[in-house]
Amino acid sequence: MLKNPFKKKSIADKYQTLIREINALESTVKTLTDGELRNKTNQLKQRYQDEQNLNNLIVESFALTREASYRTLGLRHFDVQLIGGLVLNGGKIAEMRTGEGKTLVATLPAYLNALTKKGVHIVTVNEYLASRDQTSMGQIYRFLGLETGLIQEKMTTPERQRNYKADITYVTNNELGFDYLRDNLALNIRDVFLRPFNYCIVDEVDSVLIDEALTPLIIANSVKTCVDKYIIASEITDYLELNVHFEIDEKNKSVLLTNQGTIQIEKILGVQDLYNPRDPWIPYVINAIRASSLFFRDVHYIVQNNRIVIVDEFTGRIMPDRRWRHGLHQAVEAKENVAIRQTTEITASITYQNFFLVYPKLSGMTGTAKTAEVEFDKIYSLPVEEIPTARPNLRQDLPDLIYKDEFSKWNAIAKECQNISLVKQPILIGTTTVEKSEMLAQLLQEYRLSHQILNAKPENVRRESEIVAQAGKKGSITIATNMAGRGTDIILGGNIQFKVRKDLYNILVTYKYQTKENKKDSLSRSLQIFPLLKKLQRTSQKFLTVLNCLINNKQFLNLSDVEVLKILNESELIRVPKISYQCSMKFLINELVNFEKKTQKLDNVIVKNLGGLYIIGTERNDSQRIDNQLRGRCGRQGDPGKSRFFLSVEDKLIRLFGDARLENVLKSQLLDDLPLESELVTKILDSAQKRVEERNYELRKNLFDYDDILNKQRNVVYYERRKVLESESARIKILAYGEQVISEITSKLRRKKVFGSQLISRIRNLLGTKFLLNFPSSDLNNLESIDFQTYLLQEFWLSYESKILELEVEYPGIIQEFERTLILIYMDREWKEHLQKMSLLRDAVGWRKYGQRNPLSEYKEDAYKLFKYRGIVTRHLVIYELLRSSIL
Amino acid sequence: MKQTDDKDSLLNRLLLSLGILLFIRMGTFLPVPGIDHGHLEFYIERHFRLRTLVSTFAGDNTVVVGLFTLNIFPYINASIIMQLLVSLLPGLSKLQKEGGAEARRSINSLTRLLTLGWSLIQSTSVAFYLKRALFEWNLVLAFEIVIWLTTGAMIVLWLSEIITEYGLGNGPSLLIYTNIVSSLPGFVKQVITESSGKVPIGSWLLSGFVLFVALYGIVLLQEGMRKVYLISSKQLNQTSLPFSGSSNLESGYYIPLRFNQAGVMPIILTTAVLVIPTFIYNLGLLRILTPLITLPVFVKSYKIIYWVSYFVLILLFSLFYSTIVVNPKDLSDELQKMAVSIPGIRPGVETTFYLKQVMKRVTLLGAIMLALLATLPNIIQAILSLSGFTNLGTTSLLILVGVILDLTREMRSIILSNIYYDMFD
Repeated sequence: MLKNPFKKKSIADKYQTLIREINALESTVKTLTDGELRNKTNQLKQRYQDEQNLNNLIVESFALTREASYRTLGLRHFDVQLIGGLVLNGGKIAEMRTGEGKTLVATLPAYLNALTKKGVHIVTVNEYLASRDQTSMGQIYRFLGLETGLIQEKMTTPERQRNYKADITYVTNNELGFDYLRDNLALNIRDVFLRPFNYCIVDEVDSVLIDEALTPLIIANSVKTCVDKYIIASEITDYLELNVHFEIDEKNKSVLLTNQGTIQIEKILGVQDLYNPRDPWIPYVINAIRASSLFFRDVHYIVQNNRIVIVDEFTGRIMPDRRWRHGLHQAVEAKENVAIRQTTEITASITYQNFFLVYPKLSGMTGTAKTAEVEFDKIYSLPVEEIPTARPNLRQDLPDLIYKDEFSKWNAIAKECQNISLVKQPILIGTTTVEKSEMLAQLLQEYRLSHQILNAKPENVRRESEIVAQAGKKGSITIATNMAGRGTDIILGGNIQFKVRKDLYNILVTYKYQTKENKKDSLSRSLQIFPLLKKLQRTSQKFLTVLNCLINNKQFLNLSDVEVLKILNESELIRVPKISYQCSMKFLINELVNFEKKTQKLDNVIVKNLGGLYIIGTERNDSQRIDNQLRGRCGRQGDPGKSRFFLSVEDKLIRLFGDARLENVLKSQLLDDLPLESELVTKILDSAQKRVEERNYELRKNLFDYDDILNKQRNVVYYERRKVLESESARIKILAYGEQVISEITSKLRRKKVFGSQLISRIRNLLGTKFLLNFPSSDLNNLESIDFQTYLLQEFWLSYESKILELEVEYPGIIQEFERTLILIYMDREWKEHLQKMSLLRDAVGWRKYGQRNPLSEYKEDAYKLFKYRGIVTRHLVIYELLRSSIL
Repeated sequence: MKQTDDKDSLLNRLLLSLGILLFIRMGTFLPVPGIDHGHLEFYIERHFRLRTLVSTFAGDNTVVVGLFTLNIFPYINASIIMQLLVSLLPGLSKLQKEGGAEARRSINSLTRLLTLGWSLIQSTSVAFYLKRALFEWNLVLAFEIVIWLTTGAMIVLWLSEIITEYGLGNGPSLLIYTNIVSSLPGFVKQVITESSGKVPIGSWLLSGFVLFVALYGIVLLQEGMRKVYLISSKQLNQTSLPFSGSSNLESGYYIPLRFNQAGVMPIILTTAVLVIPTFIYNLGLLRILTPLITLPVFVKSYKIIYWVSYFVLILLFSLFYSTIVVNPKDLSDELQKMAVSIPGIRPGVETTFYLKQVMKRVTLLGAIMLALLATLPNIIQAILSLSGFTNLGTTSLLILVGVILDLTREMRSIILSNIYYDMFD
């Protein structure tokens, strides 16, 4: 709150001394042999064990990592990258521009924190990135004597456990979160994947912690659903008219059924009351209307293999495992006439917000964090530090152009493309939805402009890397959704690595089959097939020789096509291959790269002279960060580049959150084709965007405040559960439960004034045994409460012991497992029930504000009651089930 | 876990609140420079009326014009005005209802501006009032006094917001609370000195009993509510309906309609309105009626008329104000929007009607209680002839009880969020 403005040092100054020390150490480290370097790791590990302080090891470990990186990958960390590493190690967020080598920066703190032997997790947004980073960066760690692990979706339990045990594990946020939840549903300690959390670096941290904050991770089991109602409700929507029978609220994505609408539906269905608890229709109707009027195909979802697949708004990617909740997904399925899948019931869930707070030390990196600084600080206590770029940024952000309506906007975009393409400057056009990207593609077709299109449609997704690789080429036009955002690296003049790999793959696969068919002298003959080889013949005979060797290599011939592709893809990441054919292939690639380099360099210079990549935004996104992600595609590593947004008064952002008066003025003043280019309007748009961001922030903050309580409860339950899971025997727990149950029962019965024979039968019912059989009811009334409890306890102990003996005789050795499982199962069941109640409660407390009550306080109050109730029910069920259980 | 730990610690918050309250209290006694307090004291000894003025500002019998003399009252007045404006001006009420954080911020800053304006007015009036008391009074000094007092008021406002944000309790209400509490000793003294010897023990006991009843009634009034149970689409959608076995009672879906939606506002408004006749009378406009008013019959019945109108006005303002706080039409629309309904009652007009009726009954009950509680002390005073009893008006009692209830609720909420930390055995 009180910050002295004069005291704020620049980030470079703050870490000046450390950087100097690391640089000073470089010459010493350089003289060490590989073996000595590796030995250093053990020394540092030992030093950590002795001192328990990582800060003393920063300088040495950073210097080591830098040297190891230089020796393995040939990459030496820049000073700014060291700063990035220091920021990450300080548990903060490092904002680094695209192409500044975030992956390499992460190695510094990862190595340092792995010295604790407690494990480091590096979290990426998708599996491709995880495996790419693990393969390339893994070499550094291996060189230094550390193990790396990689988690992939299809891995088995032992594989997962092994990979999580590694010093440094690369994993996607999704897998990690679900593994955490699964760990807390495990019935056996052997099935647990994760070790206690230590340190985590989240890549694209704003995507994970902010954009996805509102979508919780959910493990659910399906329950039987009646699909008829969804279908009928979906059909009813055909007989409803907008603004007569229902109204929609685009801002909140909600619909309102008017009185007329209610009557209409009741008439169609022939029911009295839509809210009838015995035959409820209202949820189905509301969802059907929402599905038909607020959720659109190719905007919010696509239909793939007869299934509804959600398209993520922020990344533009499909989310095959995600489903809308509360019956909305089923309603959309009914609308699209695809098979309706069963509804689900949450058994475990956590939000990313709370999941990542489990880590004692958390840090993250991204290209766009500064605009969300407040949120990171308030919710996650993560300060954001901007890391300076290694080279100055040359990107030019042109002011927005605003058009009268959508039509003139899109036309203007197409015309702009036409003009730009005359000089062959590459263009990347960002659209917000699949639908719009395809609409624009058609428009460009009419203008006879060749283009590539990248969106969530499966046929386009398959070609993603190819499209991206060529997006920087001279004269290329690429239309993309937000998919061309994070992690997309567009190289000016095209990516030769990719082109080379593609060419070589075609050559190798062709020859592989030809040699397999024993056509000995294929090489010379098929020079004709590949013009490339013919050209090469003149420059590099060596290439052909190696190629010839390779295609006669037995090992190589046994590889499948996919494996060839894999080796080719990884060859760039691995510097020193081990197997002979890998060496040969690496050589071939290098040779080809060298051959192509000249043309590529020329292309690169030409494109640079044209002004680099030209980014066209077609609509402002809800968040400035997403726009910046798109802009960040150009101007990487000091390249030139330009970006401009084409907007119209009819855009969603302006329509919903802009100023109505401004809209009218703009509409009346703007001519058909003439855009408005003014700083003022841009500023107004910025403020509208800020408003949306703030609204969303409020939503997330609100979610966080409420979820905080549930999270605390979850921590308690998971802690208790883990203790049971890890314990040799749950005997103590059972005894404790028994005591609690008995005192709860007796005090409750006393309160309700139940006496005599009624008391006996009640207790028998509650505990499910033949307690008190030989106890005259008259005596009961005379007993003091405490004596009565003692008596019951004795009875309980006796029955418990006899039960154990009974089980031990029949099934020796089973009792411990039995007890443990019993507790775990009931804990999980009651937790599941509790989750449902809490979700309803969350909804219910909103109405309390009409009594001038703070909903959050009310939530806390009722949540605590529910939580206590959950504990009581769990204990009762466990004891009841234990005492009743008989051997089957 | 760690980051919420220290932020929400009850002790830290309590200490912060106490510290700031103490600081403001001290600032109240910090003399404004330029005012010769010797002269002031001298003047005040002669002019009793001014004495009451100055002491009411600071809440007790000081003769110091302190830096924080204006205290939180400019803000209170400003927020009352703001509240009325919001409910009366459609533009503002729309802003408050639909806008998110930004709207709240702009309303807040408007309130602060109003506070500034109000403190300027109030400090100017103080400055000119002091003209009579100070020998060396001149315009420059008056200007300085205005600056000092206004600055003081704004600092108090800032500090009170810090309490609300980082401390325990709501800053402004805590400040009013301390002001009321700090006047209690003086009030007791006054009652004792003014009625010493004249009053039998019995009336003392009786008045103590009445006070107890009044407090009990106020708590009941503040906490009492009627729950209107709801059934929501989401609830019906739950596949295994955890509440289906039991009645709605357990579900937590209800609207609490409080007996006293309006708080102390009706009393404040009533008092304000009832000042007007006296004011007019003082202005001399009613001089023609003077012979009539001075008639002995009229003087006797004047008090009765006053209290009856007091009672009726509170009743009316309560009813009026509660519809501002919760508008049945808005509520019904909101229910419809969220696809929630009251069991057995159709959404739309029927729901509006139902809510209107329920609210009318609830508020009427609350309004009668409030009016009774407000007039009760005066009646007691009249019967027992315990003068000074009215000084501790129902408004003060309502505020005291309200603040304490809010405090306990906030403390409970903090405890309930930290209670889970103790469950790791």
